[in-house]
Parts: sequence; structure tokens; C-alpha cells
Amino acid sequence: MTPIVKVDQLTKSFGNSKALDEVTLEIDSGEVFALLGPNGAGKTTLIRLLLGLISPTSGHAQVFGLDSWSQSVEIHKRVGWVPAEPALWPRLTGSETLTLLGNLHGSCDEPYRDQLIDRLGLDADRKVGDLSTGNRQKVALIAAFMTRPDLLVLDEPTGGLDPLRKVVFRELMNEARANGQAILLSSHMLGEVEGEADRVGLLRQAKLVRTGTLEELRVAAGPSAAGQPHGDHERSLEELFLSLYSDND
Amino acid sequence: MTKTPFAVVAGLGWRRARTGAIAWGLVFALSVVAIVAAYSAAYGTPEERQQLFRLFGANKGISALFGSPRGLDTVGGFTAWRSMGFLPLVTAAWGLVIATGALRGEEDEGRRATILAGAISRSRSTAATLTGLGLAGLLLFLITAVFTVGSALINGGFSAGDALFLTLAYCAAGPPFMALGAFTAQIAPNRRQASGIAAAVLGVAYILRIAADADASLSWLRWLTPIGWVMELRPIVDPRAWPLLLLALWTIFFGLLAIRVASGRDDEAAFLQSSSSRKPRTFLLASSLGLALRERLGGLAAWVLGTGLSMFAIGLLSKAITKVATQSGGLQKHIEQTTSNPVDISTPTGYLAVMFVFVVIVVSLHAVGHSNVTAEEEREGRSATALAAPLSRNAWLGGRVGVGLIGCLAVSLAAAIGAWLGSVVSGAGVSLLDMLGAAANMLPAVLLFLGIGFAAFAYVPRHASAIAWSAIGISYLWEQTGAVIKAPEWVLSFSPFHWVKPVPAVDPALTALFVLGIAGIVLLGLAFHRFNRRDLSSK
Ligand SMILES: Nc1ncnc2c1ncn2[C@@H]1O[C@H](COP(=O)(O)OP(=O)(O)O)[C@@H](O)[C@H]1O
Ligand SMILES: [Mg+2]
Repeated sequence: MTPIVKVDQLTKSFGNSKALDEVTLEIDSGEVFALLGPNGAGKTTLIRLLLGLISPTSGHAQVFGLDSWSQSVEIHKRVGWVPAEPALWPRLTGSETLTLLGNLHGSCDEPYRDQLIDRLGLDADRKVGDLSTGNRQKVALIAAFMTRPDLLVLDEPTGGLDPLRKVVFRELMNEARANGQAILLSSHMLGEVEGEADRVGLLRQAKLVRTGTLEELRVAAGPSAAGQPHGDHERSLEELFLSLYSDND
Repeated sequence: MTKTPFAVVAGLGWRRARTGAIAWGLVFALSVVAIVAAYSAAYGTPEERQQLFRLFGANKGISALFGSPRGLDTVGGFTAWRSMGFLPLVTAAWGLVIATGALRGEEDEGRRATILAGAISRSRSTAATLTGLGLAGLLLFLITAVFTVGSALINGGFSAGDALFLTLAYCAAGPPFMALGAFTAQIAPNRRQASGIAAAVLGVAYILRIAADADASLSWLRWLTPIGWVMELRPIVDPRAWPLLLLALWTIFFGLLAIRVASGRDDEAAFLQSSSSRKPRTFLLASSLGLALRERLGGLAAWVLGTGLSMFAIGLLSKAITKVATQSGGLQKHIEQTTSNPVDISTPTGYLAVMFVFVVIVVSLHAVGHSNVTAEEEREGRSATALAAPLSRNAWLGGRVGVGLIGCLAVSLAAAIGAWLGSVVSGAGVSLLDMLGAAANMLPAVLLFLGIGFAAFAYVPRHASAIAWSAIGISYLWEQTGAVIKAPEWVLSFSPFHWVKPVPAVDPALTALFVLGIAGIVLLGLAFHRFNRRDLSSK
């Protein structure tokens, strides 16, 4: 099966500092892949490279077998993106924003969109400029899901959502997965992707330090974490995560 | 030495306003210097001066537009009349724009919350910002005062003290409208509406001033607004200081009110909360071009209306002014002084042709507004939102440039039609085709500035606005200074505005227009080339 995302030795520098350093990665279609790492690790940079919003300093990235920089328009027909800080037009209402983004995308499952508005509890008649961060995030989430894209790129998507809506968000991810849509999810919190991700990639200081299933990572993290009793599952994962963050890694 | 929070916030306001203060100070200075120089050169003899006074003084339309003429038979009187006719409006506009921007604009961007999270109260933060802006206003005053006093000393005709009071008079409209802007910034839900309300007050004040000068029985209207009080300072001819008291009272009143309201208000809250909910309006949401147009529609309507109405008023006056010109050779010389172009203004068409040399500056400012909005769209991250859709960079930028072109055409057309309608109403007999020709003659220069604006956006997005504004400011100052000091042709030729000749009174500089137009197209081409290849900047 050809991977849906294929990243090869991808490097991005801003001036003298590298935001992404020789990252190599593949994501299969239908897979939920979580990008984990502390703030500033390079998660957003990788996502912006995949979307062709910025160009690689060296290396390549392909999405659907297309070059992420030169063929981004083709790629975007099949991608839905939720940025970490959605930038929307403050004078449009939520509903107008969704109409606009649906039109720009070229297709939109309207009944599904209305269902999403309902399930996330968005007041779609309010101007976006008067919405809270969480509600703006809902608009961006709906915009990404309503086109039923083959790949969903979600950059720390639940930051502003309340616990109740986070449950809805997990349901949406599960439905997308059941539909065979692939998901690339970034987060700086392990708990957020646990139970969601098929595989995770750990980014630290611009480098991809580990990839694999959580089970594989637990083994790789060494005896202290792997030796935890099985019942203490939650704690052992957290420890593993922290051990990969720590500088003596 | 550590700064107090008050000094830090005041410093932010100062830094925000100082560049504009310097630029406007220089524009004001140059305008006054040009008026003094032109009058001295054009009306050499007492007879010529007396005649000018009689002719202008007798014309109701001219008094209404620029204020009642006083003492036009002296350099000082003429300078005071001409500069008081429009500079107070500019200072007032500067004051309100800078105040609403520094207060409500910062808040819209979420920076007020950041500042208030520090060790400063709401009221002190507002007072500190106003202090910083006030200092910038003082800088503007000092710059223009130096030049005004200097030109009084060099040209003679009025004393340094007179010059200083004149500067004070035309700058005196700034503080009241800065304070008013600070107040509307507290009650309006966003910067646009805050400056909109304050600008509406300024507009009403100006209209009341016009009415007061148009009819002696209405002269009491002048006592109702700060613009009227400023006129009542009567600099140079009949100077009176006590209206300054009214201006100070207004300033203190609205300044304190703004501080008071700010202290009792939540962040991003407003008394005039616009109703935030509405049924969807989906017109122009089908494409990125449509969106660009929709977002600019309100602003464009204001530009079209403002330019059209102004040119209508000038068209109305064209016949009367032409009559003055035919009876007084001085006015003719005067025009030649201020435009660096010899032109016959003894016909309404000739006079209107000269006016288009100024309209081109207005339309160029409008053009640069489009590239600046595009740069802002990227700064705020909305370009990335749009470009994450299956939309090419060419299509996105093409929509923005396209709306810019449509806007410039619409404003130019409004100027032509406005001037023509005004002349028709006053029976001046100007042909529509001539006015359309005058408008078309501006377009290559406008295209150049549109190109500069968008190329700056593509190559140096962070400094795009500064570059685009400077390009226009420097070109204008270059042309004006050149005209005043009688610079040789090759020096003048560096300013694009120099090549916008008063068409149809003289023939267009076709070769130069061609070069300007090509340069504009090349710059736009470079903008597309670069924008396709560069990273989008992130928020
Ligand atoms: N446009 C940019 N210019 C300069 N530095 C940048 C830019 N974008 C990101 N960076 C830097 O690259 C690094 C990675 O940032 P980012 O990808 O946003 O991290 P994350 O999303 O994991 O928090 C950070 O150090 C950040 O400061
Ligand atoms: Mg990020």
C-alpha cells in the first residue's frame, strides 16, 4: 500500500535555527498518526510543510504521492486542516465562514456540516470576531470535517474545547477512522492521543526521536518504564513520555 | 534604571505614533512653506493682492469651502486662510485615527489584556497611552512650527510669533479629536467603529463650519464644534487665544471620560455592542475574489463617495474660481508655483485639470490601502486559511490585485464624474470626456504605486505598509519641494507624480506614462513571481 504521507530527510531552517531537522516519516491511509512533542519541537512546522504553506530547506514531503510544495493545490482538495490558532474573518458569522470555506474547497457534505454544528453546539449565527477561542476552534473543526477529506491534519485541535466537546471530538475522530480517513494529529499532551493513535512520532528539538505504536515505544523506553505493573498502565505511559522528553535521553 | 509601567505603556503609544507624526509634520511644513512661497511670488504688488482679496472674499462657495477669507492682501493673511482651510481637518483626522488605533486597535489584537496583566490599572494604562500619543502630537507641532517660523523669517510678511500661533491654531484640532477618539475607543466594539463614530463627529463639525461660512446668519454654528473654535482663533489677522480654552476643556472632558470609562470596563467589552448574531448573508462568498471584494466593499464605498463628493464641490466652484483667475493674473502664477506645471486655468476645464494632479495622490493612497490590507491578511494568518483550500497562490493574489484595480478605477471614475456633475450644475460647461481623460491620465502612476505596494508585500511582507506609504510620501514631498525651490526638470522627474500633467489643459506625457505603467505591471509581475515562491509568514 502506498503511504498517504511520505516525508524524507525533511529539514526546515528559519535563519540559523532548524525548526525541523532531517525528519523521515510515513503515514498509511486510514491510519491515525499522532505527532507528540513539547512546545517549539517543530510539530506546526512539519504540518505547514505538508500543506505547502512553507517550502522545505532540504528533503522532500509527499502527500497522496504528490509533492507537498509544488502540487499543494491538488493535495488540498483531499485535506482538511485545523490550525492551532484558527485565523478566520472576524466580520463573517460562523455559518458564513463555513459557506465560504466550503466554496473554496469545492465540496461540502451539507447535512453532515449541519449535524456537526449541532453536535459541537456552535452558535453559527454569531460573528466569528465575537467568539471565544474554543468556539473559533469549533468553526475550524467543522470546516475540516465537513468536506470528508481523505486526510485530516489536526494541529493541537482540542486546546480550547471543554471536556464535553472533547468527547464529541473523539467520536468524530472515530467516525472518520471508521470511514477510512487518515488523521495526523499533533499534541503536546500524551493523554490527548492515548487510545486514539495507531502510531505516534515523538518530536524533540526539531528531530523525530521515536516512531512506533505506544506498545513499541514502551518497550523501547527501557526497563524502568516497561517494568511497570500492567495495572499502572496510565502512569507508565506518562513516565515513558517524560523520559523521552528529558535531556539525558 | 527600570521604567515604571506608566512609562512603558506611554512608550508603546509614543512608538506607535511617532513615525506618522514626523511624516505629517513634514507634509504640513511643506504645505505651509509652499503657500508662503507661492503667494509671495505670485502676488507681488499691493494692487494684485487687493484684487485677489476682493475676488475671493466675494465668492460664497470659496468662503464656504475654505473658511471666510480675512486679510488676503497680506502674505500672513493669505497663508493663514489657506492653511486653516484644510490643515485642521488633517490634524483632527490624525488625532482620532491614532487614538482609536492605539487604544481600540491594540485591544482588538488582544494586546490590551497582555498589558493589563502587568502592574498597571486600566485607567492608568489609558492615560499612559494618551500621554505617549500626546508627545507624538507635540513632535508633529514642533516639526511644522520650525518650518512655518522659518518661512515667515525668510519670506517676511509676518512675524515669528504670528507663525508660531498659526502653527498652534492648525494643530489645535488634534488634541480634541484625539481625546474624542480615546472616548469612542471605549464605547465602540472595535477600532473600525470607534474611528467611524469619531470621524462622523468630525464630518458634522466640518459641515457646520461650511454652513457657518456660507451664510452670515449661520455664523453662530461655528461655536458648536472644535473645528469652529479652531477657526475662531483667527491666526495672524486677528489672533485671539481664548478659544483655546474651549478646545482645552473639550480635550480634558473627553480625555477624562475615556479614562473613567476604561477603568470600569471589561476587556473587549463595549457599551455600543453591535448585535453579533445575524442570519447568514452569503453574497460574494463563492470565491476568494468575492471575499476580497466583500471585505473591501464598505471602505471602497466611502472612498468613492468621499472622492466623488469632493470633486463635485470643486466642479461646482470651478466656474467662480476661473472668473477670479481671468481677472487676476496672480492666481494663474500661483497655480504654476504649486504644481511645477505651467497651465492655463482661465477655463473651468483647465482648473479641474490642475485639481486632478492632487486627486492622483488620493487614488494612490487608495491603491496602497489594498496592498496593506493584503499584508494584514497574511499577518493575521487568514491567507494561510484560504490557501489551505485548493486555491493557487496566483488565484488568491490575483483576487486581491484585481479588487485593488477595480477600487482604483472606481475612485478615479468617481472623481471624473463628480467633477463633471459639479461643473454641469454650475453651468461651467466641462465635457465628460475631458474629465474621463484626466482620470485616465492618473492611472499609470496609480498602477505604479499598486505595483510598489504588492511587490513590497511579496518581498518584505513585514515592512510592506511602511515601504508603500513612504513611496507615496517621498514622491509627494519631492514634487512639492521641487516646485517650491524651482528644481531643474531632471530632479523633478524622479517623482512619479511629476508625470501626471494637468490633462486635458496640457498634453499628457505619453512616454513617461507608458514607462510608469510598464513599471507598475513589472512590479505586479514580480509580486506574483515572488509570492509563488516564498513561505507564508505565520501569526
Ligand atoms: N516563521 C518562523 N520564523 C522563525 N522561526 C520559526 C517560524 N516558525 C517556527 N519557528 C521556530 O521553529 C521552532 C518550531 O516551532 P513550531 O513548529 O511552531 O513548534 P510546535 O508546533 O511543536 O510548538 C520554534 O523554535 C519556533 O520558534
Ligand atoms: Mg504548534
